[in-house]
Order: sequence, then structure tokens, then C-alpha cells
Amino acid sequence: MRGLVFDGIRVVDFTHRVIGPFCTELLGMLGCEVIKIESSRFPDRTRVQQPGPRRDGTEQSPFALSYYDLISRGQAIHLNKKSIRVNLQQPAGRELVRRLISVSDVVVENFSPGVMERLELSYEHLRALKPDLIMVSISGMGAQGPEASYRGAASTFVAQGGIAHLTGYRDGGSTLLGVSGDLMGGTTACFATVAAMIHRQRTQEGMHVDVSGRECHSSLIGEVFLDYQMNSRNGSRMGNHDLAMSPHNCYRCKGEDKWISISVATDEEWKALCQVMGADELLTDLRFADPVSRWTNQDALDQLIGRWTAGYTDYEVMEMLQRAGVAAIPSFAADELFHDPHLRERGSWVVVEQPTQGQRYDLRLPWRSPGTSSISYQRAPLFGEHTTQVLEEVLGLTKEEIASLEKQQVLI
Amino acid sequence: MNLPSWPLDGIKVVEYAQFVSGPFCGKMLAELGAEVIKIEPPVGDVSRSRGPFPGDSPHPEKSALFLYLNTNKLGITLNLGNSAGRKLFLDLLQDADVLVEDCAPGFLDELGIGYKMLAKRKPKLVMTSITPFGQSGPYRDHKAYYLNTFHAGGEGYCMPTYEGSSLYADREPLRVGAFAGEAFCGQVAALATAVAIMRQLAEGVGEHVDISKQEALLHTAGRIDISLYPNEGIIKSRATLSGAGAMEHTMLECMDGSVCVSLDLDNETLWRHLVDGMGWPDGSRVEAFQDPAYRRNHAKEILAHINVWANGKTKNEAYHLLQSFGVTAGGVETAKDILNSPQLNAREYFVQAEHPVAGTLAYASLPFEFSGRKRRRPAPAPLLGQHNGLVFCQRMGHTEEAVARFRALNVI
Repeated sequence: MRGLVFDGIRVVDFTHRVIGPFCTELLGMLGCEVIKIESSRFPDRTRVQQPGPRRDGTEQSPFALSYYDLISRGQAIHLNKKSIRVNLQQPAGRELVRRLISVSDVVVENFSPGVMERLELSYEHLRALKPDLIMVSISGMGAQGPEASYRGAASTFVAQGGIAHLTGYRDGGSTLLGVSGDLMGGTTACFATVAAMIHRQRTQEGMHVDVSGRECHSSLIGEVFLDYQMNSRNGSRMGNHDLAMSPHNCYRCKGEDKWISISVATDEEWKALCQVMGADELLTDLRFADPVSRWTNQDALDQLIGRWTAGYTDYEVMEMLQRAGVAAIPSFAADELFHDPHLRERGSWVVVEQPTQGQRYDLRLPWRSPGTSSISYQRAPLFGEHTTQVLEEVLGLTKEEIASLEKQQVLI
Repeated sequence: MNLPSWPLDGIKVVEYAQFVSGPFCGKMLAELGAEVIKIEPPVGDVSRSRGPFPGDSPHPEKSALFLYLNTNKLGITLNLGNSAGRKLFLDLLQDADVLVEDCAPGFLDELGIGYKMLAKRKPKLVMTSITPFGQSGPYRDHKAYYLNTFHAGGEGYCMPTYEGSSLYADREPLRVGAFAGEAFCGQVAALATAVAIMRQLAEGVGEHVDISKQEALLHTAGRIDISLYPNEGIIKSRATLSGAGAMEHTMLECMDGSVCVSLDLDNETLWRHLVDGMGWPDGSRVEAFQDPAYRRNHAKEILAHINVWANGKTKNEAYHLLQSFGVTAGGVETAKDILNSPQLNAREYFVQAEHPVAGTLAYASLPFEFSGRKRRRPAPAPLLGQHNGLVFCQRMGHTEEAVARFRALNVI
């Protein structure tokens, strides 16, 4: 008995790609029973996508359905879920999921708006089946509006959200955020879902939650829209710099591609930095005498600091500067984060068994609390792994009924 | 008795946090209906001096950052360095369900008002503590500003990230623009708090929620990329491609800015639409390009051609045309673009609020909608100490003379 407050909550999960699945992964971590609906007719790309070329240049394994269950991306965002095979193109398949939804609490989907309607699985359809159902629809633009049918992805959420315009080198173009656009949006979608669950807990009412991927990102930078209204300006890229603090950048350290981030907010910290660097002459250098001058001359300052940090490893710089009360933290690379003593002690990395090759490492829930301390982490499901189990245990189907569905090509 | 209309109606939150993360968490709870009392030190939240300001003229009641992050909150002042201030703090919390705070770990304990003490007085209190590295671990007391926490999360090392980012392998890793990372930590804190509230409502039990900003970023945004290291030996950085296989993410240069596209080269239907829409490839090459493997091997050529096509168009033209071809595309939008977006305006994403000093402005609202509930105009951010009278006098029963004395003695 895990004693998680979400125990007993059943989620029917139609999501695919990343933003939706990460939302449902969080729900699964929190103790919900998440049942992922999959079909070989429309494989979830996260089961198929490659993580990228290896540093040593060797080839990755080619795409193939047999690698369905081994790809890192899928593994990382499908923990704590069950998978059942259902062909939604078949009326019998849709009837099956309707039955499942009638005994479930939450439905999450991130199809293009209109798809669930065509499958007769829209909120209106499902609410008639289960009045207190919580349905969460995640899309790039939201369920309504002139561009509601437009396609979105992690990159476009961040671009249309306004974050990409503000991110990048001062002398360079905009940069995107990669897949994290999906992961941040999925987190927000989970927040909205939990809010709906609280509402249902208090009122026994269900809700349809309509999450917009691009809006998730705009909401993170709301002050820039006020700035535009106040000052008719759009903001600009400034690399790692800040509008007030200086020094405020990443500096190269000893070793291959290692960097330390340093951020100085007060005169006291500035003095401490100079002392640690053994650069007393900077304290009397008029270019850096006060915060405004430091900011104005920060390019020169960056160069000076970079010359110093280059003589030490990132961890050495962190230790020296932290001892002196200066904010310095490496721009951690993945290997550092895996071996880092702080994350080890915090229990960030959890071990799950991998379907065929022993163990794999994943990151736990993004926070710690007594109410979530009894979470256990289960590996991502194999494709359709729980089809029989769910049909038997949740829907009470007999072996004959299941065999008949297989024959009708409903469970593919 | 009226049924609550919003999930957190009637829930009482006290927020003792500054700058971005804690206030964003409080803002999210307020948006869902909670009453949030924001405690500021007598000199005010630091974000009041950050700006941006109208005309770049600093004014504590006109900072866009403060105005946006603190809508829908009551504002009081308290000096916790003063024993009378701490007494008021304890009294205030007797009536609160949730405390959101961002003090350095151990700070409140040393003042005798940490979680243990608060929980003794109010066992069902949910206390969410937001710090750079959490309440425990070797980095617990490390100093970190927003640049440092972002790079601590591992994503900075991977930025910039897009096709061609390897060009920047020799340059410093980047932070995300504005305070997006910091706000997102607040989003994770809001999710964690909502989960704890659900438990509080269900079981009458409180708890101490420990948010490490590093984990909030790493376990979400860094989830897929960072776990590539222990499992596949890949250290993702800005020198490696985003590597999404057949999905090509790239930026197109239009006349007035960039459009990012996410191109699924395996998709036959999409390819046909693209060919028809662009009139390329033509002639003898059409057949060659019909093979998905050929397309993948010629991805660069395809993208180069689409770029040339885009060069002669505005962002908006390219965006709508590409979407009409079925391509996932989104402009790199500025504040101006977003404020004028027909999609966002149809969804009433921007809501007006009238602030007594800063005037009437349009504010970004929640990035999701609940069925049957329109997005609401927020109450404006409070003036400094605006609700001291309401809270200390009307609710806590102190006389106006007492409050004047408090002010004179720097208690509030």
C-alpha cells in the first residue's frame, strides 16, 4: 500500500510525442494508474526517435519497430505507465476505450483539435458517459481559435511563446530550447490536471481542461508584454548577460568544454571575486569601480575573468568562489550531473530495470515531500505489454472475448 | 452554500518570497482562486527595483516584473528580523493553509519560525520552500542567482540548440531569455503545492515541500537529454546536433525575422502537400524524393530550398503558408507579435487590469482554460503594504494606533 493521494485514480492516456506523455508520466509518478493507448497503426514517435549521433561518431541503430521499446527518449518519459494496444480506427476499438473511460477518472490527449471529436471521444461524448470525468486536451494553440488546427511542437511553442526571440548570443540569432519546450509545457499541463482533480475532489464536478503549448511559454515571461505596452520595445538577446548584474556570464575552465557560471549582484561580492582571483588591481580599475561601470565594461571584464577561470576546473572555481560568498556554479554537463555528489545525496537518480539490458537510470519526481516519498519507479511499458491484464482486470473481459478482439484486429 | 467555482477557492496562502520563482508559484495559486497574502519586507520585493519601468524610470509601483508576477495578491509588509514581526507572522499563519517561502535553508529555523515550529502550531500546514539546491545536500548553502540555477539544471550546457548549433561549439553555453527558467521553477513549485493541497484536503495532513530549483529544471526540462549520458554514453551539448532523427528542426530566415519549422520527413501526406505548395521538387527529382530514405539523406537540401522559399516572405506569410501545407511551423515571435496574435486574442489570453499607479495594462493570463470558465481579469499587484490595514486591523484585530507603532518600529 503506497499511500499516495493519487492511488486509485485511473488515467486513460491518448498522448503521444512528448508534451502529453510527460504530463501523464508525472501523474503516473504521483500514483495514478496511467493506461497508455497505443496502436501499431500510429506508433508514438518517442518510441522510435533516435537520441542522436554518438560523440565517437558511431552509427546508432536504424529505425525499426523492434527498437520500439529500447529508445532512450521513450524510456525517460513513459515511466510508471501501462500500455494497451487498441486500434481506434475500428468501432470495436473505440467502444473498448469508451468502456475503459467509463471506469476511469481522467483522460489526457494531445491530438490535433478535432481528432477526438472524429473518434466520438470528445469531452461532450465522454461526459455523457462519465459526468465527473476530467479531460485534459493539450495542443500547440489551444482547442479554439482561428489557428486551433495548426500544428505545434516543442520548438514552435518556445518560438511562438516569445522565449526564442529573447534567447541567444547578443550577436547571434534566436535559439530554441530543444525538447525542453515540451517538458515544460507538460509540467504546466500536469498542474492544470491536478487543479481539476482538486476541484473534483471538492465539488464532484468534472472539467475539460484546454492547455495551449505556446501560452505555457508566454506565461513564463509575462513582464515582457508589459514592457512592450510601457515602452514599445520587444527586448533583445543578451547571451548570458543581465540588464543590471555584472559580471554575469559563463567562463571557460580547465578541461574539455567545461564552463562556470558566475553572477555578481553586490559590491561586496565583486570585492570577494577580485580577492579570490588575486586581482586587487581590478578594485581600483575605474572601468569596474561601480555596478554601472562594471555593466558598461562587462565585455572587457568577461575576458579578464575568463583568463583566470581557464586555470582551474569548474568544480575548483565553484569551491573557491562559494567559500568567498560569490555565486558560482558550473554549467553542468550530463556526466557531471550524473556523478555530482549533491544530486547523489538528494537521490535525483533512480534505477529502473530496462526491458532487455539490465538497468537504466532516470530522474525522479522534480521535488521532494513526505507525501511523495513512497513513490516507486517502474520502467516504461513495452508496447501493448498490459493489454491482457487491463482488459481482464479493469474491464472483466474473458479470454474468449479478448481472443475475439484480437481476431478482429482491434488489439493491434 | 455556494459551490466553489475555481479549484482553490477558499484556500488561504501566505507568500513570503521575492523576485520570480516564489511569486510565480503564488501567482499560479491565486489564479486558481486561492487567496494569497504576499508578505514583503518593509523595503519591498526586490523585483520592484528590477523593472522594466515605463521610460526606464525606476518606480517601485511601476516595475513590469513585479506587476506581472503579483497580480491577485493582497500585499502586506513584515520585518521578520524583528521579534514583533515574527509574532505577527505566526499569528497570520494560524489562519493559513499554505505557506510559500524562499528563504535560505535554515534561515527561518534559526529565527524560531521554521517548519517544525509552524507544523506544531498548525499540523495541517503545507509549507513549500523554494531554494536553489533544496533543504539538504552538499550544495544546500551554495549561493546561486538565476543564471547559476539555470546552468545548474543542465540545459544551459546544451544551448544554443538547433540545426547548426555546432557552429557555436567554441562559445559559452547560454541561459534562457528573460527569467523563463526561474518562472518555470515557480511552476514546478505550484504543481508540488497543488499535490500537497490535494493531500491536505483528502487526509487533513500537512507537509514540508522541498523545491530545489536545480531539480525543478533538471528533472523536467533536462529529463531526456541528461539521462542520455548514463544510459547511452552521450553527453549532449551545443556541439552535438539536436538529433531527432527524421524530424528536422530548423530556422527559416524571412524578411522580418525567423520562423522555426519541425519537419517530419517520413510523413508521405505532408511531403506531398509541401511539394504541391512549393512547387518543388519538380521534374525528374519528384520521384526520387518520394522515397523517405532519400528525403532523410537529402534533408539539408530540402531545408535549404525551403529557406530560399521563405526568404521572400514575411514571418506571418511563411507561417500561415507552411501550416496550410501541413508543416509544423511557428514564427519566432516578439512581444508585439504575441500581443497582436489573432489566436491569442480569440482566446482572450491577455486580460486587462487597472493598477492605481501603473495604469491599465494587458496581462498574460493562465495558459489553460477550464470548461465553463472564462479567463478572469486579475486584481492588480498590490501597492507596498496596501493591505496592512485590512490584514492587521480588520482581520487580526490590531488598532490603527498599534499598526502605526508597528510601522514606526520597523515591525512592518
